[in-house]
Amino acid sequence: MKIFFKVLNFIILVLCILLQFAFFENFKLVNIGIDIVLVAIIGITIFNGEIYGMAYGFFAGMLIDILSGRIIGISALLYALGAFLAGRVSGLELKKKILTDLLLVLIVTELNILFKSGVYYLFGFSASSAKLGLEMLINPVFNAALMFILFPLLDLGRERKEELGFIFKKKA
Amino acid sequence: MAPEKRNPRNIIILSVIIVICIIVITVSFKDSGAFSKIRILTFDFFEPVQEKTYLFFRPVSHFFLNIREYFNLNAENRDLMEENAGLIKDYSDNINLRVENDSLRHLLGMQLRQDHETMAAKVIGYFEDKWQSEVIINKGGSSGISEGMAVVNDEGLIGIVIFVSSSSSRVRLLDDPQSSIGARLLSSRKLGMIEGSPEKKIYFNYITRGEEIFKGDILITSELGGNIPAEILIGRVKSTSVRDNSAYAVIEVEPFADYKKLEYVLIIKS
Repeated sequence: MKIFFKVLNFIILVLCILLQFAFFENFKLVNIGIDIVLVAIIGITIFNGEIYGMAYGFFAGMLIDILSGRIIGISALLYALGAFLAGRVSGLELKKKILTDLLLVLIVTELNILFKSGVYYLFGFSASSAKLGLEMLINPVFNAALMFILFPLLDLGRERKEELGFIFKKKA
Repeated sequence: MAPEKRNPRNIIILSVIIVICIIVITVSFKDSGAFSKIRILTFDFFEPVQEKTYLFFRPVSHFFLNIREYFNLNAENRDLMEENAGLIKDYSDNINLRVENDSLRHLLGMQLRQDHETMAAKVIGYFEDKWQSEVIINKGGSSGISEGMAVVNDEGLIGIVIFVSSSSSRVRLLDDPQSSIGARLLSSRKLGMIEGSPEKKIYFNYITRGEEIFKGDILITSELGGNIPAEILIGRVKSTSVRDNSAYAVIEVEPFADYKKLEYVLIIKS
């Protein structure tokens, strides 16, 4: 059964990549949008573990780079690092699970933006600092909002102890 | 949450991924053609799904774009009415000039301007971030498309084909930071370069700061643009300013084409 969820998560990830190209690239506020693939990878890391997160992140990044990127490998590296970070931060057991997840999405998105800008800067691509600041403000909020739709989808069919951060009432 | 033991296995896997990525990044950065076969195969594999998904979601994304545009309608309508009044005035003059031009060309034995051989293509993808701005079209090498061809629509120049697979191609838009195309001011015939920027603004560069440039001046492609035919409409001057310690004026250009609403384009083959 475990393998079924992993395959299901993989299919959701591929759908997220297609959705990113087909819809979210057009749906941007001041050219800053939602990174649905990153949110999916964070979710996969939470529900399947760090190793699956890194492997799926590597695959998704490679696919995105091949389909759209200028330099192949950058997104693969960043998504794999994102999954690794998500695995580490998810160890923080806050009082409510939802807070841990929210914090996770915010931190990993911020670090992803910083790493991405840094790596591109090293390769000679410039970007305005104002735009970077704006992206660091807006993108995590969008991603956090998307988390509420995507995480329940990735968690579909699994036994849950909590719903929206609150522990289910024990049946009498 | 899946219980994950903090063992060194994860670090080892991450290290392997990092090493693979660094090798791939280095190879693809040094030689952009190194992975072209894999790129072409992946592009061709995903093209049908990509097309269907993009077309499925296009009405939704256009709906959101239209909401945003609704708030600019008043100002846009006023500008268009002003422009229309000017165009009506010019219309009769232009007909007279055209007749005169045709007869003079006939007298001199000069050929009329040749029409370009074009091919229609459907936009099946859009990609934009700080460092790039591209669309994917559903025509590729099997239709005779090759890298460097100009892509236009009824409003003007859209961009240049930068990657071709057998059934689809990637087009670099004019607002891409790497985009650089030779252009002319229609009124004064001054030459410069149309370049994109990370802010997704388009600039007409290398015009000295003393030159007279007016807001609304129209820009066209120059005859020095390689594969790009001359006299294709690009856009109009939106604003001009000067930067300290620079010999050149900063001229922002508003393109005629709306890149986010592209549905069909024409690729100029000749």
